[in-house]
Order: sequence, then C-alpha cells, then structure tokens
Amino acid sequence: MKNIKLKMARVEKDLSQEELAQIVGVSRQTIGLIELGKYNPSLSLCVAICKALSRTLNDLFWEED
Amino acid sequence: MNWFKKNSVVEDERIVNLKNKLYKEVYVLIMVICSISVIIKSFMQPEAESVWLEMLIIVGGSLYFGIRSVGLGIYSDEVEVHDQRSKISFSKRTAIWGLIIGVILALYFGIRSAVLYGNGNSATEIKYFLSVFIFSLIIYIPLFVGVNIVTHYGANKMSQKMSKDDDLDA
Repeated sequence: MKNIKLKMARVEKDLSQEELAQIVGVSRQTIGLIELGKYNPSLSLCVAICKALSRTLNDLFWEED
Repeated sequence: MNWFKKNSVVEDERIVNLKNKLYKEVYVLIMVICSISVIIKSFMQPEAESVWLEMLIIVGGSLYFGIRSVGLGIYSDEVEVHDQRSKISFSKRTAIWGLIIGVILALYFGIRSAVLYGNGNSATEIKYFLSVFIFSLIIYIPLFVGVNIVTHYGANKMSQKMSKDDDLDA
C-alpha cells in the first residue's frame, strides 16, 4: 500500500526524494520504495524520517482501518 | 552540540538487507556447486582424496553456521517459532530429515556401486545396487536419525542457555 502521508509531508517540506534521502542517510531508491509501499522500514529508519520531516510516527506510518 | 547529531544518521538498511540476501544466495550456490562436484568426482575418480576440499567447504560451512546460531541463541528461538506455527514439532522434523538423508545416501551409494563395479552387466548391477542400498539403509538411517536428534537436543539446550544469558544482560 502506497504511503501517501509520507509523500505529502515530504512535498510540504519542499524536499525531493533525493534530499530527504541525504538528510536521513539512505539512498533515494529506499525513500522511493517506502513511499510506494514496496519496502517496510525498521523503526529506527521510520523515526529518522519522522525527525527529518518534523512529524510523528502516527502522522506518517499509522494506517487507518 | 551538533557534533553528536551525525551518529543518529541511520545506515541504509534496505541495502544491508539485500546484501545479506545475496550472501545467503552465494552460500547456497557454493554448497550446490560443491555437492555437484562431490557427486561427479565420486563417479569419475573413486579415490576419497579427490573430494576432501569440497567436503571441507560443505562440512566447515555447516559447522560454522550451526555453532554460530547456537552461540547467538537463535537456534532455540527458531525452534520456538517453528513449534508455535507448525503441527509437526521441530524435533520430529529433524528426525524425518535424518531419515530422508539416510535414504538419499543409501540410494547414492547403491547407484555408485552399481555403476562403478557392475561391469555393465544388468544382473550384477541390480545385485550390487540392492545389496549396497539395503546395507546402507540399515547403517545410515539409524545413524542420521540418532545423530540429528542428539545434535538437535544438545544444540537447543545450549542455545536456550545463551538466550537466557542475553535476557539477564538486558
């Protein structure tokens, strides 16, 4: 399932996938695959992404039923 | 104090995970190549010395994996997870694998004897095959079932001890 919330938060921060990847310390493909829902990140990576985008885990990674 | 912030940068775990997957595939590939080499050499060059290196790689790799997984305590964790999900317990599965390995080895030795010493005569080949196959079954099935069960119980006990030590550390 695509992570639209992550993509929206990144765009709101005016960051490209590459820029977010650089801040977090991962490759652009990893960010792309997380947004596409094709890669499940670990908790530490989720936290790093949340910190980079000034959001909480709930905001970006909690799926509503 | 921005100096410490660099430490919070995470490693790209997707690359690490994919690399680990590749290492696993390489290990399986090496084991398959060595096994094929042992089988081919044992038919072409019956002297045992010719397959020592392959056997060293196969047995050495398996022993290293076994010892490390017991030392890290993941062997007992795997047994626990397996027993929670599967109807057949891990101990039974280990015994069944011992049986399968025994049958495969008996078949292998039977075929090898028939091919190497049958002299192209089908009656002799069948006689050699059956005698070596049955004799090997009698030896290898109890041997591998026994060794597998004893090794499993020993490894599980040691691994559980290692896991408990980890709990105490935490």
